[in-house]
Amino acid sequence: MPRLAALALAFLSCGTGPNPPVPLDRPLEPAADPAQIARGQALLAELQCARCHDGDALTPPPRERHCVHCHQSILAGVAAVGGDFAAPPAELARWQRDITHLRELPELRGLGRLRRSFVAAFLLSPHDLRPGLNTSMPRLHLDEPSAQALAAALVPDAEPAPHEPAGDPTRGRDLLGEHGCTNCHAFTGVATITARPLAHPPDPATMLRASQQAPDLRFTRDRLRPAALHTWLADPAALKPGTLMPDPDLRQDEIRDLATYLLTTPLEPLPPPVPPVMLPLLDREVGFAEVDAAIFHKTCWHCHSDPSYASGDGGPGNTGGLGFTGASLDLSSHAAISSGSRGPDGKRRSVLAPLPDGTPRIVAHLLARHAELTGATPELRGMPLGLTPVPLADIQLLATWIAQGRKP
Amino acid sequence: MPCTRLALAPLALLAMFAAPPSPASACMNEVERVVDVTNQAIRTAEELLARNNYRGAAKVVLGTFPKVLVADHQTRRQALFHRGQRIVALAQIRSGGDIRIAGLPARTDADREVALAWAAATLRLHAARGDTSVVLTSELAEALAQRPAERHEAHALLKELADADIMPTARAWSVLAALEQQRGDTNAAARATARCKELAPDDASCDPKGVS
Ligand code: HEC
Ligand code: HEC
Ligand code: HEC
Ligand code: HEC
Repeated sequence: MPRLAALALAFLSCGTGPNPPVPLDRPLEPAADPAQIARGQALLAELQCARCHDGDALTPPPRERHCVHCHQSILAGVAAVGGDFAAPPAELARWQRDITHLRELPELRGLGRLRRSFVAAFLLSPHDLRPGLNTSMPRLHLDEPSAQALAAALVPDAEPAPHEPAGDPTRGRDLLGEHGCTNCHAFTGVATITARPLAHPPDPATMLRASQQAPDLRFTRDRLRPAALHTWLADPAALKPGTLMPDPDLRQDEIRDLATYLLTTPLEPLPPPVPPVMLPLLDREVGFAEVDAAIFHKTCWHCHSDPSYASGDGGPGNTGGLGFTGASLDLSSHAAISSGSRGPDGKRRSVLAPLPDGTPRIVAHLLARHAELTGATPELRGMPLGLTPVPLADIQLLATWIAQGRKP
Repeated sequence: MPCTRLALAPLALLAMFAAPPSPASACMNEVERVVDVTNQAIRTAEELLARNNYRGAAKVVLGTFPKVLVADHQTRRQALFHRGQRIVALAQIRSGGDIRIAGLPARTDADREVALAWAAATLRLHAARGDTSVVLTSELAEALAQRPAERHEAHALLKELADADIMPTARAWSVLAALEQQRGDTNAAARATARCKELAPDDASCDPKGVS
């Protein structure tokens, strides 16, 4: 009886028969090759993805090595309870003030919703997905086959064919505002959508985390498998347990309209990458202490540290980690910084000396991070790796200090 | 949903506190700075050495690692032990072998020579262990520069660093200046002295005559 009623309703609401699904302009993704999956699983461990991400296929390292767990526990004040991490309250408060990065990260769960091809391309050349998050996926040391293998391990299953009929994109656009979606989500490339306040807003702390974790909906059509998009809008937690996206409580027709808008609305192209422009050198004298406080000890040193003081681990940029063998670059003191890094030929070289274009190597890496955030993939890896770029005014300090003879 | 996760998180962390300490990550040096007295002591010794307080530096290291003369002594903090050995070796070199350590004689010129030989051998051992730190290379060169038979090697080590523009300290430039002077290359000596003075304008040791 209920089934009959539903059928009758379907006929009534679609007098001309249901729309076909939004057409795919590519073949469906088949199940991944088992050999690739196995290789990808090994790479997940080798590249230490679990030092940042929690996830189904990942075994978390102890907190002493987990970039996010350790930061979170310090922020939660748990470190104050004692053990190896006991710290006087004043010190703990300073840490809590200083830790701005790697506090909040997407968990790698329910990744079957993503397109495998997106994951592979994203790992090779990450771009900023979540405008509210100050940390990006770092550009790791990966070649194309490794990225494919990782994507196979993270998204092993075949892509289901979309079967939901297409809806009305104009209505979908209105629904984004009416349901308050854009309270959390940016949607670059479309005309601004004004969001209504949420009917049942989460508590403020959860709301803050959710708006940090909410992806820019511009990328959704490249990221999500269309069939999964429908499931996601019906019940996000069914696809990704523990997700911060609240159940949007939508009707089936609303889901179709929203999905169609997200998948098909034309997007303004992203602005082309802009090369960052250096500020001119300063006229005044700049001392090492100033540069150290603004750049090296503030940020860099956490990945480029002195191994003697850290039980042998000088961080990913010095002794290695996150799949890097390490550039043997210690940025923890003037003498260490003057000692340079180890280049690809195994020889040590200065990071303060100029490259052929006259820019000191270290400055070029800092500018590269600015370029990465405008969508470029510069040859030199941007530093600080995956984090907020060093402000141009601080790069100016560094460049001035180098030009003035890099005194201790 | 998120609430359950938040409530569980502290429990999971408490469980981690009970776990035995394992190798620290890069950031942990900051965490340890507060609680780890070994780190603190070695940093203090390093600062004393930098201020030319050789005796003070050696004393702090010996207080932390009494077995500093034992080349292959194994400790929980091996890297810091090695650092301590390097500090004491440099203190000997910079004081002309004048630091008294139980186990090393230090009264006569011959005794001083023994202490200097120990210092050079210790730094050589660290370099041979595969520690590629440029600072260590420059320290070894500083030790070798004191020993006429090994000055040639000292010069080669520092020249390589200078040519690659990775000279770590003003002191290393001053040692190179003295070595160039001894070899009779006054131009090279003047260049090294100038770089030393540029880095450490107030340091009298930049004058090549200040280094023997
Ligand atoms: C240093 C920390 C760090 C490491 C290590 C790291 N990631 Fe990430 N990853 C991030 C951050 C931050 C984001 C979020 C980026 C964004 O949204 O712009 C991210 C995003 C992702 C995403 C997109 C997930 C989503 O829901 O949008 C995938 C997939 C991913 N990482 C896979 C990996 C894999 C595989 C590895 C190991 C090879 C890895 N990550 C290592 C920090 C890290
Ligand atoms: C054992 C705990 C612990 C681990 C593990 C840890 N950190 Fe930290 N981190 C800290 C503490 C404490 C601070 C604050 C230090 C301060 O205030 O001087 C910090 C600060 C930082 C900062 C500077 C502040 C900021 O937010 O920009 C960066 C960058 C950083 N950590 C990166 C990392 C990375 C990358 C990893 C993983 C490879 C990592 N940390 C792992 C404890 C940790
Ligand atoms: C309270 C904040 C919040 C609201 C309101 C919200 N979302 Fe989300 N949304 C999120 C978060 C957080 C994620 C990422 C979840 C994750 O990866 O665990 C997300 C993910 C998504 C995704 C997947 C995007 C991708 O590229 O991976 C889509 C699509 C989406 N939301 C659509 C919507 C729509 C449509 C609405 C309104 C009906 C909405 N969201 C309302 C927070 C929100
Ligand atoms: C999250 C960890 C991380 C942070 C933070 C970080 N780095 Fe790095 N850095 C690395 C890794 C890993 C490499 C090695 C990359 C490679 O092998 O290509 C590296 C390499 C470099 C290099 C290249 C060395 C060479 O000769 O190839 C420079 C220069 C550098 N970092 C400077 C910095 C500076 C300056 C900062 C602070 C503003 C910084 N890094 C912060 C991880 C980090």
